[in-house]
Amino acid sequence: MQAPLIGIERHRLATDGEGVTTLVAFHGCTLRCKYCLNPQCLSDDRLLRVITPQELVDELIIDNLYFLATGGGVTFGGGEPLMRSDFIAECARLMPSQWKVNIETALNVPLQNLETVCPHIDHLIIDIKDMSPDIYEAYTGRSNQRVVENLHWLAQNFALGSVTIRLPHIPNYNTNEDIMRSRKALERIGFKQFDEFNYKVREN
Amino acid sequence: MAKTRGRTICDALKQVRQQIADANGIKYSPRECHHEGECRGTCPACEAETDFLELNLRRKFGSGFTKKVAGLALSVGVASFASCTNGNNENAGPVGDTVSVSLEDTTCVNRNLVDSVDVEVAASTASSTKSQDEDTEIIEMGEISGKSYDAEASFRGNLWKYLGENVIYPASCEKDSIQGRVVVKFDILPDGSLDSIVVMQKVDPRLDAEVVRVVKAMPKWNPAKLKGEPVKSTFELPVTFRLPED
Repeated sequence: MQAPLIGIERHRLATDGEGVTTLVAFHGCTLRCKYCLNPQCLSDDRLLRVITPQELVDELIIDNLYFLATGGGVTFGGGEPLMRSDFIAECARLMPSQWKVNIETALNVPLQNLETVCPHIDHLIIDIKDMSPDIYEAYTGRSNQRVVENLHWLAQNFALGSVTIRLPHIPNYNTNEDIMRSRKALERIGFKQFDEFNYKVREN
Repeated sequence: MAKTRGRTICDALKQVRQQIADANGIKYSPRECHHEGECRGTCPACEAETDFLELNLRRKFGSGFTKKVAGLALSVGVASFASCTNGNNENAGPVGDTVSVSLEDTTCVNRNLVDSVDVEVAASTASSTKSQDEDTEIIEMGEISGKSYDAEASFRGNLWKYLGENVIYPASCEKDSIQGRVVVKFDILPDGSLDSIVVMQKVDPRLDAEVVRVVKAMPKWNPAKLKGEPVKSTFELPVTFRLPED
C-alpha cells in the first residue's frame, strides 16, 4: 500500500491539533476550491514522493518525545486525506498508541472512507465551506450532498466532542448571514465546536 | 526584531526538552545557538539533543519511558484549528513551500553539522559491572567536524544511539578511575566503508582501543558527495568516558 504526498511539515505548534503535530499532506482532492491554499495537491509536478505506511511512521517517529510530552501527534491533511482512508488506518495501527491522530477533511468522500478511519482517529477537523448547496457548488465546483450525509452519519456514530467544524468566511462567496445559517444548521444536527475564520485569497 | 516562526518553534521545543529532562532527573542544558541564518525550527544539533534525551529515558525506564514523558508539556498545545486548506492563522500555511521535510532531512544523521552539541549519555552495556539504575558510567560525546561537500558523509541511522549502545566502558578502567576524551579520525571511502582509523587524542590504551573497536564494527556510511559523485571524506569523532563524581 502506498500513497502520494505533497509534503510533511513537522513541529506545528497548536495549529491543527493539540501540542506538537506533524502535518502529513496527501496529493489529490475531490474539490476544486477557488482559493485553495495547497494547489500543488492537484498538480503532478509538486508531488513530493510516494510512501508506504511503515515508511511514513518510521519518519514520524523522530518526534516521538514531542508528541508524547505535548499530547500531540499526526494530522493528516491535503488535499483530501480521506481519499487515502485505508492508508491512514494502516498508519494508525503502526503508530504508538499515545500519538493523537487528527484529520483535516472537507468530508466530500464516500461514507465508506469515513467509516474506515473513524475507529482510529482522535479528532476530526471538518471544513464544510458553506452549508448552502449553491454557495458550496459555486466555490468548490461540486455538490455538498455527500458532505451533509456524512455529517449526519458522524452525529450518530462519532463523539461530537471530537469534531471541530470550520466555518470559513469566503470572500465573494458567502456573507456573515450565510455563515450564521450554516452554523445553525450544524447545531441542529448536533455539532457544538466551531471555528470561524477568514480564508486567505491567494494571488494567482 | 520579532522572532521568526522557526526560532519560535525552536524555543518551544527546547522548553519541552528541558521539561522532559527536569521531570526525569536527566542532566541537560540546551546549548546556546549561534546559528545566524534562517532557523527551520530544528537542526541536527537540536535533534541530537532529542536523541540524547530519548536514549537516557530508555536507559532509565526501558520501554516504559513513554509513561514518564506523557503530558509533561501540555502547555505547548492549546488548539486553535486554523490551517486545513485555507486559513488565517500565522502558524498555518501551505505545505511544501518552506518546511517540507525530505527523507534526507529526517534520517537524522548529518552530524557533521553538529558543532556545538555537548551532551552526556549515561552508558550501560552488557559488560557493565553495575546496574543501569545506578548510572555509574557516563560517556560524553561532542563536537564532530567536517568539510564542505554537496552532501556530508553520514551514518546510516542514529550515530549517537549506536555509540551509546555499543561503546563499553572497560571495567578495568572504571576500577582504576580512568576517564577522558578519546578522539578518533577516520576516512569514509566512496563506497561507504571506513578506513585509516587513527586515534588523534589518546587517554588510555584500553579506552582508545574500545573506541577503535566500535568504529571498526560500524556498518557502512553514506559517503560524502561532491558534484553528485561519492568522494572520500574524513570524520573526527570524540567519545568522552567519564565516571560520576562521588
